[in-house]
Amino acid sequence: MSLLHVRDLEVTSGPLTLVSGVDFEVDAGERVGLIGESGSGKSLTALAIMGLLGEGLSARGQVRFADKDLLAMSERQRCELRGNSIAMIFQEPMSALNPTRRIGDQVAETLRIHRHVSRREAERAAVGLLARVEFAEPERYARMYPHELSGGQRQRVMIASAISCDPDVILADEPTTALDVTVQRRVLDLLDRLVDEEGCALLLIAHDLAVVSEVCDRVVTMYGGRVVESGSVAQIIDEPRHPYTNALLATSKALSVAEAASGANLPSIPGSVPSAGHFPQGCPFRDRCERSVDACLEIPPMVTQGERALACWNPVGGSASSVQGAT
Amino acid sequence: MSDATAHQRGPGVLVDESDLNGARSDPKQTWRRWLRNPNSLIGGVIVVLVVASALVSLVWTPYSPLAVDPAHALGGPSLRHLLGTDEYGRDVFSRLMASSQIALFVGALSVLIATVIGIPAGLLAAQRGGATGQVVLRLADILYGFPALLAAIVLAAAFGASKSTVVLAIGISYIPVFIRVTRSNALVVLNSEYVLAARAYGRRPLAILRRHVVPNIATTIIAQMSLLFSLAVLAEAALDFLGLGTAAPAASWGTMLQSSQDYLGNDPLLTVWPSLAIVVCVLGFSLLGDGIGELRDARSRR
Amino acid sequence: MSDIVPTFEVRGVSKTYQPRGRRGPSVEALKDVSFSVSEGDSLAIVGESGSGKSTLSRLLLALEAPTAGTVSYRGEVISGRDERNLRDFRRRVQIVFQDPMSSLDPRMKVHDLLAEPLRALKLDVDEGERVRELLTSVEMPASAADRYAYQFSGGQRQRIAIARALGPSPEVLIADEPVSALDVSVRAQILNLLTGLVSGFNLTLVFISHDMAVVRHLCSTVVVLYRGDLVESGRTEDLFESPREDYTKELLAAAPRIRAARTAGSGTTRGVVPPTV
Repeated sequence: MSLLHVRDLEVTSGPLTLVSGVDFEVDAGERVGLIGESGSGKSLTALAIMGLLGEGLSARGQVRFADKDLLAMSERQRCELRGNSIAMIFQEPMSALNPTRRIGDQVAETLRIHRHVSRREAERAAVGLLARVEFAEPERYARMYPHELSGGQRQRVMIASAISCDPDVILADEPTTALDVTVQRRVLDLLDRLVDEEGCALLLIAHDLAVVSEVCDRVVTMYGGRVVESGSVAQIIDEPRHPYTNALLATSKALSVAEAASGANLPSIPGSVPSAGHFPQGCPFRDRCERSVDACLEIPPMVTQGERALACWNPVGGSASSVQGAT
Repeated sequence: MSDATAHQRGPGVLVDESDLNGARSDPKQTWRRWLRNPNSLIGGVIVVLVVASALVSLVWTPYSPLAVDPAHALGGPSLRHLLGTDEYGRDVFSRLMASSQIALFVGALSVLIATVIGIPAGLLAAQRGGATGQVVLRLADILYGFPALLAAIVLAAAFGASKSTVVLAIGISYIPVFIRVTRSNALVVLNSEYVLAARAYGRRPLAILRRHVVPNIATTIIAQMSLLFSLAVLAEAALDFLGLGTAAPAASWGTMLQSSQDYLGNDPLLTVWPSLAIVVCVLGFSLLGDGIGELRDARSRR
Repeated sequence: MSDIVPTFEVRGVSKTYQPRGRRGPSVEALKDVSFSVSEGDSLAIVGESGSGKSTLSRLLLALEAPTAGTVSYRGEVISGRDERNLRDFRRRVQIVFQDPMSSLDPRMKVHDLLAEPLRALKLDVDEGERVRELLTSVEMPASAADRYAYQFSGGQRQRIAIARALGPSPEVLIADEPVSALDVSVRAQILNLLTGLVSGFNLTLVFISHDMAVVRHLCSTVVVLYRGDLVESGRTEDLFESPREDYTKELLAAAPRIRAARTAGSGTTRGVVPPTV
């Protein structure tokens, strides 16, 4: 039973189409990773789901959450859900936190808005939440201001705020990209544990396949504003079918701590990611793809088979008719 | 690499023409943006009109701005006198046109004084920092304490009120503005990574100012100049109104406003024309300044 | 035969920053750091934020002077030297920065960006020809010279930054997190490019990074910095196979790895160091 179902999502900015035909589901308690690089539209997708698109951007399609369509809702109804049933964690904690308010206040704010608790109760709850995100002295930190904390600490504060109202799903937009590697490990482990404890679903947006493979059950790959492939982590890692996923995986594997230097050149994708809205006609990956054929001038349809979905005319490992590939 | 071979990429050239995004040449884009921005467009048009008016009035005005005609004094707008006549029968329209000369003269010269002293001082303070920077900032503080009005009074008392004392008074009072604006913008550039890169390949401090700082702060400084130009016009009109600047019978919006006060009962329109002229001129330069500033922001957002 | 003089020798270098306004504690960015770089070597300086690696890169370039200790290039002390006597050094040692947007003057065309070092160092070369050569060596079309940096993608801008560094035909290339700000799919391209250029021009490489995986692929020697201290150094493979220090182990354990299935809950490896808040 899917908790969040994004159907045919399109995001445009004037004449430019930034995101198109995006379709995926997140079941209750499931962890889905949305992988893409800059210009892939992954962040816009998350913002569109939350109804937080900036000026000049508009979204079309359906985002079904429980029984309702988030895109069709009134802003007031969406405000009810935000922070409450759907929580979001952003990439840059410094800009997401108000520099003039204390940490405790900011964590308590969601509780006060959605649970209508008294100020004192909310403060106490905030301290409890800070303890859950591994602050050794939560009362002290509750009184501090954002600038007194490190990047990793601020991100943990954001996580505390996100879980405060027992959300059904957490949208985390590149939560660890801006952090040092040891801090990233800490924050990821924490997020992993809390999502387990809360039993909520997680939509993790990232550009690092390794991060997604560690934390998520399923992967959705985006390129050029479209979903190109999706499947379970095991399926994608063992048998990627879309050439982009394949190439991304190859590069990620070669650039791994676990991989000794081979002396050979790293596998790379020639060319560069097209800027948002300026994708080539047809399949957006067409002119960087080593498997592209004439058919690629037309956008390939998304073919779904069980857990896997694929949009490619000439996928890796066999004909397009079988999503599962040569078994 | 033509489009036909878009599928394959040769080993040598990994990047080709089709990869380069948004490759439009710069000057054309700037023009288009200029025309689309309401501030720069309206401001620009007004400024052009004012300058044209001043230039034209150097060689021709419908009537001489000083030609007295008592028989037709305080006449309202008519076919012969577009905006009517003042208390001496002088053509208001001609006087308005001629006044723009003074407005532009004072505006330009006072901004010139302020920038010629203020910008180098600001650059010096930004680059040297430390004690030198502090000295410059304190000097700026001292100058802040002398508003144009005060300076104008002092200068008028010492040398007699004239266009020059007004220019000097306004110019000096604006020096600290340019010191601060230049310094803060220069600091941003000096702390940038591309200046660090320049130091790493051996660029000397003066060359860094010339090649990196000045081009990158130019737009902001020019916007500031336009804004202060508008304020200078306003200040000039005010000083003339108070009798601390241009003296009658020379035409200036300030003096026109001053003399029209006495005839508020007979001919209220007389106060309207110079006021309108001041407002429009100030608005024009002010909008232009805003427009330039916005264009700069649009560019740096990339 | 006497000992071969190392290309870079850092001896007992410390750098302390006094806070502005003379209030508050001073910051010890580097504490008594010593190591050397041999000619033709590719050394990685690994550290997270606050480790002192950026400070170290500025000291290696003589853009700042150490509070204590010396930095020598080919046997000659360059730290604390007057700018006038550093021109030759500046030609031989060049740097590529992390953020290709902020390290290229937005007001200059690519041609000027590449020609500036040549002009600053007063090198006697044909500008136009040299610019063309440089663009070719970083696999960019010659037409790029007429454009501005902002018209290119991140990876392309980094190529321009690399081309700029190569202009004066340096002996040493310092790369400060050159790929950290780039997309994954582009990272490999730039790393391949760097590898090719380093071997093609016989460069000594000093590669600063927090990414252990990139380091493993590119460098033969590693020094690890933590809060201003040099905690471990050695050959890359030795460090990765059998790290000695706790911090090094933590760095290695922290890097995310591709797993075909996630182990439920907190199956991911935890660092050795307990939570320090």
